[in-house]
Amino acid sequence: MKTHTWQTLPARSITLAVVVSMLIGSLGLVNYTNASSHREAPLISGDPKADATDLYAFVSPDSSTTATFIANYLPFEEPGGGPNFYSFDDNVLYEIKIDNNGDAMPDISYQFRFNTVTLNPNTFLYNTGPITSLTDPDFNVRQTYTVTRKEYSNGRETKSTELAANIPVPPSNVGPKSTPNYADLQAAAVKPLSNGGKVFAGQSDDSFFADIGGLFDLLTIRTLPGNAGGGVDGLKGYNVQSIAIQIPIKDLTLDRSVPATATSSNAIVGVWTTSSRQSMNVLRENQGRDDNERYGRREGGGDKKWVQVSRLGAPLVNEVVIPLGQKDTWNASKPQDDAQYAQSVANPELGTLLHALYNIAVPPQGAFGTPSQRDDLIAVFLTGIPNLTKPANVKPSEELRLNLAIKPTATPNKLGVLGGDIQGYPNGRRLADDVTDASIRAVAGAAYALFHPGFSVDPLANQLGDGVDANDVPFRTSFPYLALPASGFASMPHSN
Amino acid sequence: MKDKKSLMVIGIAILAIVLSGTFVWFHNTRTKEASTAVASSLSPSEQTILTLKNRIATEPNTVSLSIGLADAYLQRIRETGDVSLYVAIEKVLDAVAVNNPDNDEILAKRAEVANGRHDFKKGYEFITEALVKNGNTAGYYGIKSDSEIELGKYDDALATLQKMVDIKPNFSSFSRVAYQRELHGDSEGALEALAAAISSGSVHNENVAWALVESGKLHLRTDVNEAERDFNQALGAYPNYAPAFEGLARVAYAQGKKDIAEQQYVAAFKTLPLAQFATALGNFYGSEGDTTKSSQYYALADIAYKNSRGTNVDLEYSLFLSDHGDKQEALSRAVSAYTARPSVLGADAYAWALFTNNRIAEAETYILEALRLGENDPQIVFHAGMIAEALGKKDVTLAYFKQAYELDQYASVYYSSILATKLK
Repeated sequence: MKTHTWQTLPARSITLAVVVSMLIGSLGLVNYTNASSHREAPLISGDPKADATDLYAFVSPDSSTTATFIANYLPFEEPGGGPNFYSFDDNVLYEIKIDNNGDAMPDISYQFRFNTVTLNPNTFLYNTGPITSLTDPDFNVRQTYTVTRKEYSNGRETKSTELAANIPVPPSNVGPKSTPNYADLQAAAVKPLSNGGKVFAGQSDDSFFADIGGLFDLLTIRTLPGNAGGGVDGLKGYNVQSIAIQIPIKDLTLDRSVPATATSSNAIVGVWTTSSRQSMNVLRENQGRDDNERYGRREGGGDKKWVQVSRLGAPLVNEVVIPLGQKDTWNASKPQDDAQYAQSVANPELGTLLHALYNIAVPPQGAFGTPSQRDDLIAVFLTGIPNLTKPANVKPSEELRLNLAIKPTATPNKLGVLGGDIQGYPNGRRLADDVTDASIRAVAGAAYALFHPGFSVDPLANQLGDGVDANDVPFRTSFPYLALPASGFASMPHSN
Repeated sequence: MKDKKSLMVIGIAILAIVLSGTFVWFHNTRTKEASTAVASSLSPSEQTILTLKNRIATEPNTVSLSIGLADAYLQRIRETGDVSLYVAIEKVLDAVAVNNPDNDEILAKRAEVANGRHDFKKGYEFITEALVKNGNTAGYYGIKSDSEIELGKYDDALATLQKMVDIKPNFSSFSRVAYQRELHGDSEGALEALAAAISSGSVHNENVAWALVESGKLHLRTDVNEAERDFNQALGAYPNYAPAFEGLARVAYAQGKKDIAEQQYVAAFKTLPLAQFATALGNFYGSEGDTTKSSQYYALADIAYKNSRGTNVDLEYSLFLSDHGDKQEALSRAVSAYTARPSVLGADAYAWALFTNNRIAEAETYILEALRLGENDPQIVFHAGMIAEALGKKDVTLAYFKQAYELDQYASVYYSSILATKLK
């Protein structure tokens, strides 16, 4: 045997090792060995860029011949999250889907695909100087996107129309030095569509407002009953990535005409947003140094197959209705298969909880298909409300349903239908609708008497709320209506 | 002389401790979320830990809270390397399991902890049980494929991981696909999957930095500049990320910039005083002919390995000892490592320990086993070359050395100088 060039290094004295050992040991710094290697991939990455947070659908207040849809993604963007800031994922297919005949299948889909360009790959900086326009060379990492309208008949694609291409996404709101005149940058990113509509995609203030800290802490209402403030807006100061699109109403209905009245058969559409990514084969075909066949490479496996990874229609469904172990299944599921969730809606845990916590006389509730099922909640979440958002021959499915024939009101009530304002939630959802209060009250039975005349609603049910009644910054009066994103420089998220 | 040496080592140790403390401080102050109701000097993961601990005090039986706390601890371990936190996780899981004995999420989390401690057999058992109860959660398949890989069940791991990525194509599944491809010799495919992972993003910036570092390590094989960009981007995503400093050190070393390499290696070690970084510094000083500093850092690495409480580091420690320490100990560690993890890496550590103990014929058996996925890992191929050389198999020897060089001539500062002489 040959002598090797690397022999043991001179033996160290035991004393030395012991001394160091004691020294380090006494300070408790002894539990460190190796950093995570390639074989230690993270498991709790989540999927923020494909994670839908909120969906809005309303007849546009300043343009009542159009409807506006807004889908928010990427929750809890800390405005100062440089130096990479925030973006959509080029590999995700973002969609806003419309069911205009109540059969729980999409008839129209607006699809959004993004493309990231890095002007100067030699720097990892987001911007190399102030960004004064969307074409500024200092805007180093930028995105554009394409909007495509798809049409379907019984689930099969019948038409595909590109509505716009190469539309710029404005930069994240970094701060006054990097993104001066942010409002102008955003305005320049609102673009017309070939069908007469408008579109915008980019960073916004998170339009959801709720005491999420309290709600998720065993439904704690900080100042009972919750209708007079006292909550902590857990979303205050955080941003999201928003996709907003405004479409002429005639392009949305089943017969391509504007509904004459709220009871017209073409008046109601169901809306939901999805995001999908392509799967991939674990091993690529004919790649690698050895014959992959031996190691079980699959023929025609999951490569390129689109997998839906997020789904959102009405607010709070994922959080409140869907059990924890079913989140992946829910996010991959389709409205046409929603019968599987009927049980959770008909007999909600939340109802039991409200009774237990606040001794509210909630309506009786029981298994789906029994007389005690919560048909009020089934209407809100699965079928629509009769004479308002329930399509004829509706197939029960979780969609955000909007009656396109109900004109915007000059005096909106943040509680929507529960507050006597039929232009608001759960007839679609406007930005300022307080869906948290409305949902808690609905579960407590506020709308139960509509379905069961004679039921006397616990007075407390109509007062419940999370104590957060409006967004921390005002919404705007024209498209995209959302508030501008908080600036990274100025922001202190969540401070109240 | 002895005294001078010990003083220096103590000096280094104190420096490391002081500077690592400084790092923690710096890192914490950069986070703005710290303005919540909770203490303001904490990092996001520490803050989550504190918040959830308080919540669990009032809701001890809510599984989701305890799982959330376990996840926060697991993320903290990734960020700090402090494996003693596994004990804390086990306590959390034990407590919530009392009233939720059949919960699949708790079982899956136990599996993840067992894998984290390198007890892959236990990990496999737990996750198999969890999957019987719930076969719809993508992450469970990820945990199972992690166990299977380390147990050498590569066929099973491929099928399991395919399920994961078909249910949930996201950061966690793409980054696992990348490792499988790398294992099977498809570096380009691995980079493609890592790019998809990075594009997906994660709720934890450290995760993205980790993927960028893995991408940088693969790029280091073919394109040093590309690698340098990856490591810098990793530091952009997660400032003071020690593995990115180590990556930049390797870039500088490959570029012949020894002084920068030294600075970056030191930065990695100061930021996180891990055995792995101490070894890298030992190798670096060794290659520079500074045997005093070299042995001091090896001494620190040795101490760190010896004190890896509760986490099985037999495999890593055995490789370290084979090169820099007690050869007999290396072999006994290798036997345990191979028994617990009959993967290609386990077989490699075993072969290498047999070789350094002059049991060359046996070494050949195991190195061939380590090469069973193809000649893809520069370290394994280098070991194979050394073993073939000792057996007098000249042609094979040269082929292995050339292969190791082509795969990654800078894979290890320690081996690359040997490789260079062998190929002269």
